[in-house]
Amino acid sequence: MFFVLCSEKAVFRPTDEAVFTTLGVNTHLFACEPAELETLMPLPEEIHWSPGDSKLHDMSAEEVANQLVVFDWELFSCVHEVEFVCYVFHGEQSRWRPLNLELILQRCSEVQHWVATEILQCQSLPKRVQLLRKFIKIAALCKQQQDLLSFLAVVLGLDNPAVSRLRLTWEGLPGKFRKQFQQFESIADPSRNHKSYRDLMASLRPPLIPFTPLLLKDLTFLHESCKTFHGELVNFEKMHKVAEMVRTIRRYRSSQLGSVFDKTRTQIVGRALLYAGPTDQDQALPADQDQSLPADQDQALPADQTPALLHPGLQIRLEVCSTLGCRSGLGSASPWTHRSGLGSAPPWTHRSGLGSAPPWAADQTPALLHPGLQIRLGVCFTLDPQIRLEVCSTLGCRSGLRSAPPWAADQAWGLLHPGLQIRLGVCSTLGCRSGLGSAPPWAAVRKLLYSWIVLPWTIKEIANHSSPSTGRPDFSLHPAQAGQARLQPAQPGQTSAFTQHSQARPDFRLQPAQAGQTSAFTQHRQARPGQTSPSTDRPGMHPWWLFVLTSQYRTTDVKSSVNTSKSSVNTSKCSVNTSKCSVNTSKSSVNTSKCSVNTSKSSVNTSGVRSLEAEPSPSHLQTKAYVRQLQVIDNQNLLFEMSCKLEPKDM
Amino acid sequence: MAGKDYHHLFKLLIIGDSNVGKSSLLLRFADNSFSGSYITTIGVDFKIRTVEIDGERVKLQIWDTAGQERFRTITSTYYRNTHGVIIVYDVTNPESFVNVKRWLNEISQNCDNVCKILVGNKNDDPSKKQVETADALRFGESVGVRVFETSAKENINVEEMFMAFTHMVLRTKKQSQSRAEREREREKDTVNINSHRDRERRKRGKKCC
Repeated sequence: MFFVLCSEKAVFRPTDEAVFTTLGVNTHLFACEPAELETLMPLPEEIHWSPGDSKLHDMSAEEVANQLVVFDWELFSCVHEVEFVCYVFHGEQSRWRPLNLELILQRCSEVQHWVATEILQCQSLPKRVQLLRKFIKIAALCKQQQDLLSFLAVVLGLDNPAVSRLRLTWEGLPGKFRKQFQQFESIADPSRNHKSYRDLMASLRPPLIPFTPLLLKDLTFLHESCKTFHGELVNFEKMHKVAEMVRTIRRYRSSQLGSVFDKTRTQIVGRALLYAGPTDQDQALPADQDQSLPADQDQALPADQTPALLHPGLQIRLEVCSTLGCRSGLGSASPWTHRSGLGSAPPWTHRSGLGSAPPWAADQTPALLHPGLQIRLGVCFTLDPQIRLEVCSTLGCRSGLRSAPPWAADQAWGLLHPGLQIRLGVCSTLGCRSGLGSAPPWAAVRKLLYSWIVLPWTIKEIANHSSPSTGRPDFSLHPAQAGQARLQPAQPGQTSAFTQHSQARPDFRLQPAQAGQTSAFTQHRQARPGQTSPSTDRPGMHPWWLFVLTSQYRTTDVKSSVNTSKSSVNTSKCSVNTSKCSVNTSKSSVNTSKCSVNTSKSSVNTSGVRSLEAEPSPSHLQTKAYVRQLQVIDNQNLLFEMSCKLEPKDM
Repeated sequence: MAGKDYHHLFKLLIIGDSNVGKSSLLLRFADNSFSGSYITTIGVDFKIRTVEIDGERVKLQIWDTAGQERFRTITSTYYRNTHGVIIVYDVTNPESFVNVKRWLNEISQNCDNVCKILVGNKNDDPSKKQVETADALRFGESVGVRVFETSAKENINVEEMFMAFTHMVLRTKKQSQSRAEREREREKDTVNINSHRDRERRKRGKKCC
């Protein structure tokens, strides 16, 4: 049994498929027997809040603002455009959970609470005034760097009634700052449908980070105010509008947030080295080892392998894994704690004090844990002390996708945003433990990057680590499962951006939140018995297809036959022929705005769908033709029956 | 009251889960219309209606969160300078009633002192009703909030609810006004023994700088 201890406890049941969340501030993950549940108590520092000086006093406003901007930019550039559409169109029922987007929303409220908490924790008046000044300055700097997400989050945090009623503090503020803040407040003003904010946005040039909640609000309204279908007809006007919005988002990040980013990145790297020999004496790599690594490796990486694409959420989840897999060389984990905003003691310390099953139990005797657990928690493979890599549970989340079997993701590799691929790749890794028999763990772990630096581990070495002879679980394919498509070890050209934890957030941490902050962990989704995974054996059908189909042919039964190429489901050539319609992807992409759907009579252009870049997919699909019935339950509980006939393409 | 056609101006806010009929309530009260189809409110900030209470004209500026309850970050901006909050639930949807507690929590986080009222909407079909009046009343009593059951569709109790709420807000305003006045009176009668010293200190302070 696993559960999280925060202000509330949430027990994960064996039927749970995945935890769709990150660890929140002050959230801890424990593994123990159900009987021990009662013995778990909140940590003392969680119950008794002790006021103290904020670390923020020692940091300059510029530094904090830069960190906020970089963080936001990473997060924002990780959000796939599809996520916006998914979030709005499918809402809660989506089988395709827009995790990155949710992280942004979470981040937004986290910053908001952090700002208020910092100020309220400060006991001396002059210091509080100083802090308030600093936050206004931070907001101004964020605005200057066109990060409206952090800007508004900070402003809204200062707008918190608990802060705004600190009369003396506000009076102590110089008039200049007060005036500046009033101006900021007016930007947050919702009147006339956030006119002042929109005016501001119109005056800015990309790259910029928008206030995402508002973007989602607009999309939601667009979706809910217009029907998608009028009888059998698709409402193109609406689709165009959605596409227009998606294009705006694309425009926002059309270029890198350059100057700040580079500057801060060097700072981060600098700090990374400082952090390399941290408090945890056990397995931390010596700092010089990090330094000795070639720096040019970093530059040699293609864009999507740069740490920038790995989004911060990863680190949060890494902790989850590390908690469970304490064996995983936790020495490296402390920087993440800063990053993940866990201001309190790292979770594993508590965990180890629990006297429940030792963490390595899971590792040594995989049978002790329910297979599902591994998926959920993402402790998929054991890490050797020196390997500072964890497979994170985000990936686990993805593996909870009902529609896509992990390997489907891999096949459709090119369809996904780099950030996503990573996760899905890991997903399959997770799968290996859970009996899916898909990928050997090292498949995803080709390059181990640690803080921008490539560590000289080879696949072979890693493979050695996880070989059965070392007492670790056997990841090799079982004969019974070998029929399923399996992952190959990643080709050298393929990404495994996967592994870089930009461990090096400076000491910019969220303070422990007040009691009452919700544990983000409670929203784990449970497997619904009625909704069986429709596609455990459906190679080549990526959830994306479902998305395209469901969003466009909601009212019709689609009987489709999918032609796959001989040796692989190659999205670039894949065409879905339906009796009523055939979806032809363009040669290399199904374009967001122009997903061309050829109906039997006319060719229809639909917009509002996200581009799917196709890449040559791994050639591990069976060529065997077979027919599958699959039922897709749409969010409106419409039933689709799709007979997918898969057969060799080159006829 | 030169130049103004009202004596009081109140900003009211309607919140509650999605699809409980917040906009319908507002539309019924402000425009006396009802549209059965569910259209999420777009771009409308507030509606205005002026009512007369005890010979005083009260202008109500009623804000609708317009489906933004899904985005908490945004809604927090709506609470500023609000005089009263109307929490709406759907009597045919128990979940929306359960969530009332969360809304109350949010109000207490965002507002210092504000009038509240609990409204069970869609109370027009007894066969569909799932939240019992007694339960709602008991809950309302426990949190100190008055409960109304309305139907925007059938125009049941809507006017009454808004009027009663306006009364409440007006009463609260007058109470706080008279309290402030009393305090001012008291201040007049009080001799501040520190005032002299304060002035001294301030002077000295000026000298230093």
